[in-house]
Amino acid sequence: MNEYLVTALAILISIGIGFFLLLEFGVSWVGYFVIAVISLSIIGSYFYAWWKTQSDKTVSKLKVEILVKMKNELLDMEKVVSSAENLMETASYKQDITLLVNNLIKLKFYNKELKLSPGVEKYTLTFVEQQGRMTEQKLRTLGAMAAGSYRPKLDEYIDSLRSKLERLLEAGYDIGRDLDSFNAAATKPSKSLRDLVGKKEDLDGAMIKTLEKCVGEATRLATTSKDFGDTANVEKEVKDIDQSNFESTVSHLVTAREGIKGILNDTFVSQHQKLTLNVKRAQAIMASENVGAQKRRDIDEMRKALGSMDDPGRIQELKDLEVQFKTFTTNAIEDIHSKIQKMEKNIEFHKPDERIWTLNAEIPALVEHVDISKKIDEFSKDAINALHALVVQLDIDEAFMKIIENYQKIEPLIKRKLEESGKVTEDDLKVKYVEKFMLLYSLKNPETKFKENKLTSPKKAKKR
Amino acid sequence: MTDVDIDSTRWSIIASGEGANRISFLYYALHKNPAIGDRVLLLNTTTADVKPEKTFEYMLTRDPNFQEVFDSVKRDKICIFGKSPSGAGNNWKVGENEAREDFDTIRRYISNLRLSGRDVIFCLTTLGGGTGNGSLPYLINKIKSERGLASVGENSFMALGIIPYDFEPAQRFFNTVCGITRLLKYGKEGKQNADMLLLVDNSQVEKLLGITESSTTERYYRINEEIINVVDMMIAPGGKGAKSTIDVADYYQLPSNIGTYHFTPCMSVGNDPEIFGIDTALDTAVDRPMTPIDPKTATMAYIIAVAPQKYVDDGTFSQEDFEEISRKWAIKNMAGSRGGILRYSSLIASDESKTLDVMVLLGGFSLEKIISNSLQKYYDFRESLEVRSGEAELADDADPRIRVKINMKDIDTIEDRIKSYIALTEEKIKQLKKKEIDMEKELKDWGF
Ligand SMILES: Nc1nc2c(ncn2[C@@H]2O[C@H](COP(=O)(O)OP(=O)(O)OP(=O)(O)O)[C@@H](O)[C@H]2O)c(=O)[nH]1
Ligand SMILES: [Mg+2]
Repeated sequence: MNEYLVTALAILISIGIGFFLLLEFGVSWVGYFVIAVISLSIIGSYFYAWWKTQSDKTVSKLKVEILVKMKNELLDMEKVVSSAENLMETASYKQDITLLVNNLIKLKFYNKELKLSPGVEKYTLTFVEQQGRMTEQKLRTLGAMAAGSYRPKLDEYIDSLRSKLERLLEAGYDIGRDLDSFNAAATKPSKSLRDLVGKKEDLDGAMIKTLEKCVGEATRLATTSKDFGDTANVEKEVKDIDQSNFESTVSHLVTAREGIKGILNDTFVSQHQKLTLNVKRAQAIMASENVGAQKRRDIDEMRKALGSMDDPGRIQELKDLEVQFKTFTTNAIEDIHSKIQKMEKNIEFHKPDERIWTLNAEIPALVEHVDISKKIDEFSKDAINALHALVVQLDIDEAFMKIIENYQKIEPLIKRKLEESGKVTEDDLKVKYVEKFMLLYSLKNPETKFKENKLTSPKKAKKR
Repeated sequence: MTDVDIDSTRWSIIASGEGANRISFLYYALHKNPAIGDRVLLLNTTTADVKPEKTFEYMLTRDPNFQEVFDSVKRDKICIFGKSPSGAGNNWKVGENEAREDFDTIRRYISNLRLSGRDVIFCLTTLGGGTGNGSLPYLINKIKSERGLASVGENSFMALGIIPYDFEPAQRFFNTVCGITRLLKYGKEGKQNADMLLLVDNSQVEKLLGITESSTTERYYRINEEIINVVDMMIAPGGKGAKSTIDVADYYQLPSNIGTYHFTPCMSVGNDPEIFGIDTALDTAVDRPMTPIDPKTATMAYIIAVAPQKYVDDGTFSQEDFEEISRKWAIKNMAGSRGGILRYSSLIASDESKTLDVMVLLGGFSLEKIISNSLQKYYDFRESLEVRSGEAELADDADPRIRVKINMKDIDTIEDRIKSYIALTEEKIKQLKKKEIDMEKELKDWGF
């Protein structure tokens, strides 16, 4: 509009100036003037046209950007809303989106296929911007509303997944950690509908992984259990699993596990009892201080591990523990045996009387007999026998060494008591292994006699 | 009963003379006890031509590790006193005079010990020589009475005197009798000097240890090792991860009230706690008194046992059992039929000890055996003195520079003092040996 006004004004002014020149200077001046005006107009209009196309281009670029963005947002929202479909009613949200789209088509922003239509040319940038902002606003509201109604549904859904996992855990599947990380993921804060939908997808993924793991466990257990009973039913349960349906998968898994428990229970219980008994026996034998703290700790730990093992499904761990028990006792036997052999050399040097020190001659045979490749029952019997004999011998040896080491100090005490009263009894001398000390004394001093725990000297007691 | 951490007694060691210096140095080098810290002082006189190192020479060659300790000790823990260029030359009177005349030198070193509170000062000397035997009784008396050196009346002075070998010459035993007396009583009025006097006899310890070596230095070394066990046991409650319910050091002033305060240590250390009961360790200890005595005449006993913490925790040893065992033992083995006059037992649990160690300090026993061993030589020496106008000149044959006069009246005083001390001892023993009172008659007398 202004362009016409400016043009009209310019023409009027030119005519005015023409008249003035005509009146004052004559026709030739007017001629020059007209030529100048015409030339200027031509140059001016040329520049104008150039400038005009330039600014029109920027404007339509901006419009296109806004329209593309708007379209993406619409499609995006449509997609998110669609993926929320399996937990809530989405028809009304979809309808709202369609309304929005239709409106834009009617405005000729897009054609029917949602391609940008040339109809938008007739709108100013400002108008297009306005429409863009409006659509965005509406979509935001719509998204918030959808998230609001999706959230409680998702919570319900998470609860149902959790309870499934808990059922599996309770049935005996080894998924304690899975459940922990599931709970961690489930409580992560999420605001937008997109986040919520993303969370559901993650949890579904985790659920699928866990279920696969359980299926693996069930399959393994079914194979292990074959030796202990008919596993046909269990195998059928496992085969029937359709992993796309969580609910039925969980039911199958739980039933399979129950079946396995039924099959393994008797075996597990009896093996557990036997191993516990053997470990307890070994533990009692190893209570002797001379065995050493490390071995005692090891056996104590085995006992503890056994105590906390109560599910027949853990039969494999029980087997592992059996192996551990075998290695441990075999090593302990070897250890103590070589210790005893070393001490013997030392002891033999003292040529001890058999009333002070004896050697169980059966030990080498007993140790020889222990064979780690034998079945657990037989192995345990042999091992416990050998271990018992060894520890008894070890205690005897250690005691003997103590007697030898301390004799020098005890001897004068015995001597003095003999001189005082002609006799020494257990009550006169408060030392460990008192009879052995007295016996040793009597052996070294043949004039004295040791009988019935009493040491006597024929010499008359000196008066002090 | 639960163990409480007691505020343990602080100890210092003052040793005078060659033998005592060796013992204290050995203790300092082998046992670092927090109760002692570095409160150790070695005093000696010197001859111009002999270096102070001479005393420690054998120890330093025997154990090269000692050299470093010695270098640090030499810096500020050895005090050489006296103006005479020739030492005390086996004359106790010289030793005493030198210490008195050069007390200013000694005082500086004693202040360094920073004696305070209820510290116990362990004073060591041999009894046969001149320096230690002469100076130590004087020093105890001086420190006790001079304000600023100690907390007057609060510190205990535990003296340890070493009796010469049986075979040593007469002068040594003359010194011994005088030394024992002067450690027990000192000064014009002859008041009590040390709070307790522990006696150790070289020949006796050698017999107990079955020492057969012929080198004198090695023989001394072995005896000294045994003596430092005594020092260690006395100081034990003050450190080395020790816990006890009673600190016997708190009771070391009690014998003064009774009037007799001589003791001898009886040791049984290094016992296997798995084998030995405390009763047996106690028996073994008392079988081995470090001076020839008859335990049946002992009227006082301090019984100290150190056991590994583990065996105290598991109840193998306990203070209660220990007291009961000590009581029974005392009734059976000490003077009279009621277990003597005074008895303290303390069980110390130690993180660092692996053995059961027992020390019994028997006290108040009859001095008869000790005196009878010395008396002949004492008189031999006394009679050899040439007395001129009441004074005798003590000369040293080996070193003509040493001459000192001694008033014969002083010798008589010493004799009187020890005699009256002996009389009191015997009286206490006799009192205990008397039959028990006739209770029925006594009660009637008391108006029941
Ligand atoms: N147990 C023990 N006794 C020693 C030792 N050295 C010396 N004796 C004994 O102590 C007496 C000699 O005393 P010393 O300590 O050498 O003499 P001192 O105190 O230095 O006095 P002086 O006579 O001035 O040398 C003798 O009876 C020796 O048997 C030692 O290292 N241990
Ligand atoms: Mg000397």
